[in-house]
Amino acid sequence: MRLRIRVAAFLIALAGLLPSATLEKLTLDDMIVKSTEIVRGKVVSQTPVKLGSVIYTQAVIQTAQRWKGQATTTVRIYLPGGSLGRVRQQFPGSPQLVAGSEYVFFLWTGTSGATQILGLSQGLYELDYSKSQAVLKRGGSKETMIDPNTGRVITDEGSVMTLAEMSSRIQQVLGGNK
Amino acid sequence: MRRYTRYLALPLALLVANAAHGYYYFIHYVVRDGVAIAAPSKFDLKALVNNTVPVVVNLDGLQRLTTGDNTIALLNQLRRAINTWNTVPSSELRLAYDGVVSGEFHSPGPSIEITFGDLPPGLLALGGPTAVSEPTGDVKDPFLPITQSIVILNKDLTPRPGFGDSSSASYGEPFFLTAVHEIGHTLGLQHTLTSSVMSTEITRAATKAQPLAADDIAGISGLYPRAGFAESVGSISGRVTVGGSPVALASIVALSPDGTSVSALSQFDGTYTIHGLPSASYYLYVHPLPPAVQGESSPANIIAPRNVDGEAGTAFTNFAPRFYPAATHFWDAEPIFMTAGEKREGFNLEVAAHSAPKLYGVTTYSFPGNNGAVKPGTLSTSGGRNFVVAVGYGLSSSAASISVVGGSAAIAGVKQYANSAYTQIDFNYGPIPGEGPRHLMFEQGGESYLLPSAFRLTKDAPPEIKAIQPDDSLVSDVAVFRISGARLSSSTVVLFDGVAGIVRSASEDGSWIVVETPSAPALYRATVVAMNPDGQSSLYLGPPLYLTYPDRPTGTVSVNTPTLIEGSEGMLEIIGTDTAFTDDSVVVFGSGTIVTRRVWAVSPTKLLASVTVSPLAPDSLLSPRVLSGLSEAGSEVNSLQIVRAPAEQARIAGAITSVLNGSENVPAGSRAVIHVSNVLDTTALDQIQITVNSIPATVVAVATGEVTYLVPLELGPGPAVVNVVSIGSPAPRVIMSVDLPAPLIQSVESNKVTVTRLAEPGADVAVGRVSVSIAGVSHKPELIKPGADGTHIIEFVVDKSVPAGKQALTVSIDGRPSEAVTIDVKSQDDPITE
Repeated sequence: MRLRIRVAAFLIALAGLLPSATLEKLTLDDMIVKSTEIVRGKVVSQTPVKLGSVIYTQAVIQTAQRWKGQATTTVRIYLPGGSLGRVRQQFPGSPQLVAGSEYVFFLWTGTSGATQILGLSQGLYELDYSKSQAVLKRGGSKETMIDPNTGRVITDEGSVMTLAEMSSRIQQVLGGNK
Repeated sequence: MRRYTRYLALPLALLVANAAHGYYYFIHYVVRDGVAIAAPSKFDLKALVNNTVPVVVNLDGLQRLTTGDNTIALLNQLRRAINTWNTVPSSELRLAYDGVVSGEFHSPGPSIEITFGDLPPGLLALGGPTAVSEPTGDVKDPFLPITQSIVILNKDLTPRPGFGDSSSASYGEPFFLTAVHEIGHTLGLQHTLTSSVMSTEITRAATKAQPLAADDIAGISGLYPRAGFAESVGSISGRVTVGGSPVALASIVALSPDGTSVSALSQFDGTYTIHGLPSASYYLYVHPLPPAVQGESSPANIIAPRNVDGEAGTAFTNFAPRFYPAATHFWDAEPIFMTAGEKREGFNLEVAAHSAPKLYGVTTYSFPGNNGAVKPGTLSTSGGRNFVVAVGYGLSSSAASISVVGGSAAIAGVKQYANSAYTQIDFNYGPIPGEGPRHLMFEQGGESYLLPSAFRLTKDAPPEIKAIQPDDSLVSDVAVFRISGARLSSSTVVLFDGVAGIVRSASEDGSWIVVETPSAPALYRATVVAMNPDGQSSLYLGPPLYLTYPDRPTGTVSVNTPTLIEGSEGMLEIIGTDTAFTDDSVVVFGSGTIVTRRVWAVSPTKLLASVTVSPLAPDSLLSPRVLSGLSEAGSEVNSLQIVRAPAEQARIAGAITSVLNGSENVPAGSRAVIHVSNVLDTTALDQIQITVNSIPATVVAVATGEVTYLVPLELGPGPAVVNVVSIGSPAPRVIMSVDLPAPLIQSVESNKVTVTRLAEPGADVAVGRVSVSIAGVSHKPELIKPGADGTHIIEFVVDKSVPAGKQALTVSIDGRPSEAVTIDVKSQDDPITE
């Protein structure tokens, strides 16, 4: 049984791998801690830019709410892939934002200075105002996942969540510091 | 039905003019003559040198490696991943590692760049093609040419918390398979749902020992088919409908119980074609794409095709899986037997509306030793644990019914695993269980899900390495080691940081093999991993062992051919100091403009390389480097110059080949063809001078762009330098491969052929080496005996299938054919008169 328990723990670690691109599963708390900025905002514009050999779609986000990071009214984020002139670069898994739509972004700025969404699309939640409360949606809503801590089957905690619940959770994890 | 209606609304969506592409590529629809045609993104073979895409690695961004790892190991593992795509014989496309670059890389032609980037947490790697928006190619089969594809690996390759070194080290299976997968994207392949290397990580069942599955091979061959590919495989086509209306982006899979599965996605009009089916019996089934899971921006992260207005379509997923012709279980399905070249149509699948899938994305693991779990689940039928554990979206151990598709193994029980969320699946094996991938079907709560290659059956446990010791049979400078362990054989591949050693001998009981190690730098410490043909690795049982190489001077090289011209073949003579060149050595340039056609190691310190310079190559200075095993020897900086020459300059195109059989190994004394740019069919023979290894060669014929000459008989086998001066213009020197002389027919009478150059005068020649061909019918000699004046006399019996009349006769030895002579085949009583 000892061996089995050890094996089970190993399995859980392996289960953290996600589909390609090649991803590592992040929990909501992971994203709150590992992000450098967490904002709610609307996509104002999207323009292609080339950084080195990679074409990015640079999206300007008009921030409406900020939980983490320096207070600015806009954020420029870089999504891998896009069309520039006659060429189009495509990366399977890279999210596509809709101009004018509102999202919650978990963002990360590395040493390059380019701000990106955590985990390609994991740190992106679309806001749905059609319900009585604003609801956050992510690609795999209602999917079943494995909690890496307990090994239990769960519903992705971030997939169906009200904006108020998300805000509360972020503030709780950050200790109330904005 | 709302989404479904949307497909119908897509402009021209139903007017798909060309045959459905098999597999699934990066598809854009273009309009030709008023109808929409699917155009995939792919490399334009006509824009490549020798059908080869150069691949460079930019290490600028790389920051951290796993402890004990190093960039030499990393680069050689990437080289192996790159070369994996060269192992598909039915694909014309070839990749060539072209070294390390720095700064912003600019290649004048198509290329692939592997970089290390500032990827955010949660993202380990990504890759994809960069294609021109305007289509090119045949009117009925257009494509968007790929220009510069990119792979971005994480700059931090240290293990994530909770993971072992093998999860991130370059020797591990994850790093290698991730690289193969991402490179696959750069070639134009999207995700597939057959558990092949191009499947997402969740279901991917590839291993480092067997990285490519049938679907990967069909995918790359369908995009870049070699002549004869379509005739060597079968195809199935049909249409997927719901209520009679087309279903877009449904996944259709041809699934053989022997482990093979090949797939395609339906087009907007519901049509599909599965290409590339090896001869076998298949079940055909259709299933919806699973919902996007965390980390996916679309189902299976597949980028949906865009219509002519740039709008992306979406997949219709509200239907239940269905087997052909109309079954819900594979045991009620109708098997379809496919043979090579068969194109079967009309396999239409009408599906029933159903809620989107709730059971999907199952991963299996097994425990071949005490080193934790391996993926995919791998079971040895000769012993060990007989179960896998599974985890997936919607899968419950208490409710699932699971079955193996086909025989060879059966489910013995399903239960919860170790009080966890995992499902344990126990197996019984049949009397002849066989080996290879096996498929599982899961059913639960009205949902069904089929996982291709869900687990792998093997006869034996994984190979094991217990010790590495120098072998007593150490020969000259070659390092030979005895590797002790279990389940080691002459078929075992032993990798030294990604470079395979040469197995020289093996014990009968599998307890040891003797391996010649690849060259490596002084005091280099290489990981040693054994892989068996059944797909298993010694890493399944434990971490790798290490081999530390002895101290030795660092090799350097100098280039004796300092100038090449663009758009021509050329040669490099490379002299090494403290090098260990072999015929497997690789010359890299870090430019993306030169492709090495072949190298010859004349000695451990002298290398000849036949190269092709791209017509797009700019004036430039390059610094060639030579890779031999794990060693890398660099030349002086900028020691090679590429110059753009005037148009009238004579250039050489392609390899020099034999007139006799088209081979690039041309027998001495026979005719060879060389392609010279400024030659016209009106050019006089004496306007062309050719020497081979400084020996004048006789020019015997010219045609536009082509010169035929006699290879001097006195040349020995091996590489020879060819100098051509064409109409006063000296072409770049090139190398030809000279073979032993071919037989020369002196006379033919009755059933005897008298030849010279068959072997040394008076020498006995085994009849198995010689063949007499008449009218294309091969005859094995009855007798070969030495004759007078260095001749050999070959006696044979004319086959009855040879038609009467004038026929061509040739004699070949070891595959080297003579020039043909014409004979008159009269009758079986008196068959031959010259």
